[in-house]
Amino acid sequence: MAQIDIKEATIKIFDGTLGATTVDCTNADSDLTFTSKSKHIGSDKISITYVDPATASAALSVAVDGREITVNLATSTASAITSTAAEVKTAIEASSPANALVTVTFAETVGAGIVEAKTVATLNGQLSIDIKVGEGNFTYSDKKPRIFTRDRGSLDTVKNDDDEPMDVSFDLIWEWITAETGGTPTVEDAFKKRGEAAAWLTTADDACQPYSIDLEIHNAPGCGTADDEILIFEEFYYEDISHDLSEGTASVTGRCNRVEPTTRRVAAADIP
Amino acid sequence: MKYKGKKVEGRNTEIIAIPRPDGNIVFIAEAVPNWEQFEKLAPVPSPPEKLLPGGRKEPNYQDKKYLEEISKYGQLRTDWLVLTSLRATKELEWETVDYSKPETWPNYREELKESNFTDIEINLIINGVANANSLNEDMIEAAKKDFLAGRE
Repeated sequence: MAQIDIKEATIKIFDGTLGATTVDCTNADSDLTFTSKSKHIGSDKISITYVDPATASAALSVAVDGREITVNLATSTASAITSTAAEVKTAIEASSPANALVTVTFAETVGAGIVEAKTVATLNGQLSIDIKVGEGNFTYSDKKPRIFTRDRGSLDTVKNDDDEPMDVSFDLIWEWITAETGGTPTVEDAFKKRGEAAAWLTTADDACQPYSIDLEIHNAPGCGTADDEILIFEEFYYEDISHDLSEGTASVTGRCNRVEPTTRRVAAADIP
Repeated sequence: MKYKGKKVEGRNTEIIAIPRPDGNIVFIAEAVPNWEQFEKLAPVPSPPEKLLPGGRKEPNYQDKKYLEEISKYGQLRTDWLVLTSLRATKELEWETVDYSKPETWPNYREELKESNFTDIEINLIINGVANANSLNEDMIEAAKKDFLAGRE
């Protein structure tokens, strides 16, 4: 794994609100609402674009690059767009990679209206805070227990043992905290769903489980053409937290209901 | 209000004629009296706040999303001014612009291009809007000189 200079990184805390956007077209009954299927999207948000191919008799198609969904609209022999919202919905649902990312619903009635070219719309709504780190350390350990079976005293077969939750801890001095929308909760608020974070939703799939958040380390090296690296520690449950708001320090340990973080490499320009 | 004994009425207008073989296209740009409607539809983006150690909060003017919004806001102001000024052209209808939806305002440029207006013609229209709204410094200077010449 690449070494991350935590001073160049931002630690983000996300709640479990599903990102969504409505692509609002001019014609009646042509608006569609796109909602993320996953609670664990983080900074590399899903986006949707409607493209006018500007050629005659083009077919409706859907292309997916990472989390960017592009809908190439169908046209008539006179190069006019002919795709209705209902057709766009069907095309997205028929595309496995697009369908894995979003749920599409009609924002008006049955989607009979013809859509138009639309610039990038991002699925926003997930609540989050960004913690700009001054000094500190972030550690995690994923475990892979194995069972070694012997045959008459000699090592023989190996089996995987039960999964173990990943341990995560960080101890840092932060310079500032920002929130994408609404008020700015403190680190402790975000972990405890209180104060400015009272409306945050859990990232756990089972609502009966204790409240959890997603932790993300966003490493933007800012050198040359290197991509940003994103590590997401999904469904994190804190077990010990100490936070000094006046000094700007936070020390947290806990575990994730996952065996390892998810990692992504994304061009910096793709992070909205 | 009266000026030289005459009631001051009407707004500054500018006529922009674009020659076409099948009939000239004449745009009328009228000065926009105020920005009230614009401000209602497209409020100035406000920066998010950042929380500093000690619990102090201050605006985060360096926020990437805020900087993008401010840049878009500047363009929207121009688009709104052009569209609102050109509403004085009674014969003009935009097909993809909805005056109540700011996200549709930039579409007028595409519509002009689709209607085969050249970049130079589009600039003429925008300059006409600027002139109607007294945004042309040369014209203001000329008016000032004209006034001063009358006093001599």
